[in-house]
Amino acid sequence: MAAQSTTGARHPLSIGHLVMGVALLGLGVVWGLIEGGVVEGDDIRFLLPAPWILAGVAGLAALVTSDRRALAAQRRAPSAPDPTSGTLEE
Amino acid sequence: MTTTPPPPGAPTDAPDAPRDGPAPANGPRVTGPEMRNLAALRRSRSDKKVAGVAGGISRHLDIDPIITRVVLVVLFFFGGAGLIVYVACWLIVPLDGEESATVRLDDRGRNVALAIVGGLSVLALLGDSLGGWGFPWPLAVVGAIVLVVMFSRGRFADPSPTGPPTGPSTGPSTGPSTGPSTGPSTGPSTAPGAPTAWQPVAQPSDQPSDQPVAAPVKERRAGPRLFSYAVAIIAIGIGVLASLDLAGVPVADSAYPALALVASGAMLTVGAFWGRPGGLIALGLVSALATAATLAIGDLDAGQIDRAPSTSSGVASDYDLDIGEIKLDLTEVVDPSELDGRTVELDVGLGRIEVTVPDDVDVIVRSDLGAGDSTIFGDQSSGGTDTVTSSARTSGADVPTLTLDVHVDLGEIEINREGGN
Repeated sequence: MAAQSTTGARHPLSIGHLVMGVALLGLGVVWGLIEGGVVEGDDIRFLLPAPWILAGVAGLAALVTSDRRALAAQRRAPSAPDPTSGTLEE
Repeated sequence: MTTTPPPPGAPTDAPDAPRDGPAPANGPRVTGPEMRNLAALRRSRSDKKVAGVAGGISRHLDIDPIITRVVLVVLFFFGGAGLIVYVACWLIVPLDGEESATVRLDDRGRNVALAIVGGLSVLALLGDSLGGWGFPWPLAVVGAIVLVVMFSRGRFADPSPTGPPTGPSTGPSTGPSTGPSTGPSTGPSTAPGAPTAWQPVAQPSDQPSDQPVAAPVKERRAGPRLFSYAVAIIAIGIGVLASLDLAGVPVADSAYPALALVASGAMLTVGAFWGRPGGLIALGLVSALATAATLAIGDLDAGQIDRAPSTSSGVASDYDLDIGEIKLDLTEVVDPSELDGRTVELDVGLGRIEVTVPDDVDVIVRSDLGAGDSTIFGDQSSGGTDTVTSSARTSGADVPTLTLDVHVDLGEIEINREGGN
């Protein structure tokens, strides 16, 4: 991949970390719903896949956005670096 | 790799090289028959986190490896389908430049084996999604371990170019380039047996082809290590929770790992944009497993229920235990006629149920035993569902009838009549 600039600690979006972060936060929400008694019994098993679906959708959305932005940037400046999979130009 | 078809005469036997003539600049670069030819699938040497399965599949289907990895990770938690696919491909699919894998199969056999693997994965996915056989926690644990290894390997992966250069030193590298290289001086884009990773379709570039293209350099992220922040936040949070617990505020046991889970998730989300999130995925997965375990253990109802009610009103309509033993002695009931028409349900997940009924009551026993042994009025059997009716020893027109619904997943059921069967 072409080197991309960073501003301080900010860096191009890491899809893998975003996916896992959303998934873990979602699991935390599921735990809260179970512990709070909002969801009980068999309903729990239908709730468990939700964080992973959400995380996957978030990852794919970020990926599509990344590629679209990279291609748009490439059209504006033909000598710009190739679109880089899994990262988002910032 | 570059996205440019190799020049005429250039070697194209690398698995990921554009197949069968020049590839279009846009649109799919592999045809349907090429995708279905699973015998041509190879694990990637250059684009690998663990075994190169995701890289190889992505190259075979000509899609971004990130998509394949996300799908596999998500499928890990749906019936273990992702794990089945990954492990099977690891064993069956050869590496780049090799003709056989750990499990030696010819092309036809490999095609069939991969089709079977796909079918099994779909079954696992459907079974979990539609309620066939529940969530496979053992597979999830194994998958989590594989994930940890995968991400660890990825973090410390060799940042060297994705394949050996084959042309002059000024030729293109086999890693990503800034545009297609079409000049004759560039040489073949890939070496035989050294296929490269998927790259998005490149747009035509005005860049002169004879300019050297810099090899990709894996950038070292700047910023603070978020793992340390997460550990500090978790330590403070656990301290606060423990203080509340000691002060008498009810705090669930699972709140402690859940706190670590949420902190890891939040820090990972931050780390996707800012700082260095290394190690947080492993911390989050361990926290998630610990949360699930404490939730499950907290909900477990284990122990022993030993009841010998003296009146019919003291007989509950159901007795329930996850793990342990239920002993119900109805022979002390002084008004058995009041049991007429009643149904008593007894349910144990793992353990034993023993019921003793008085001899002046007709009893209908509906037993459901997942695995184990049952002895109902002297009749022994193993597993299955039985309905056994036992008549009272005393004759009379007004003999009360009691129904027992007995269910044990794994263990033993024993129903006796007063004074033996």
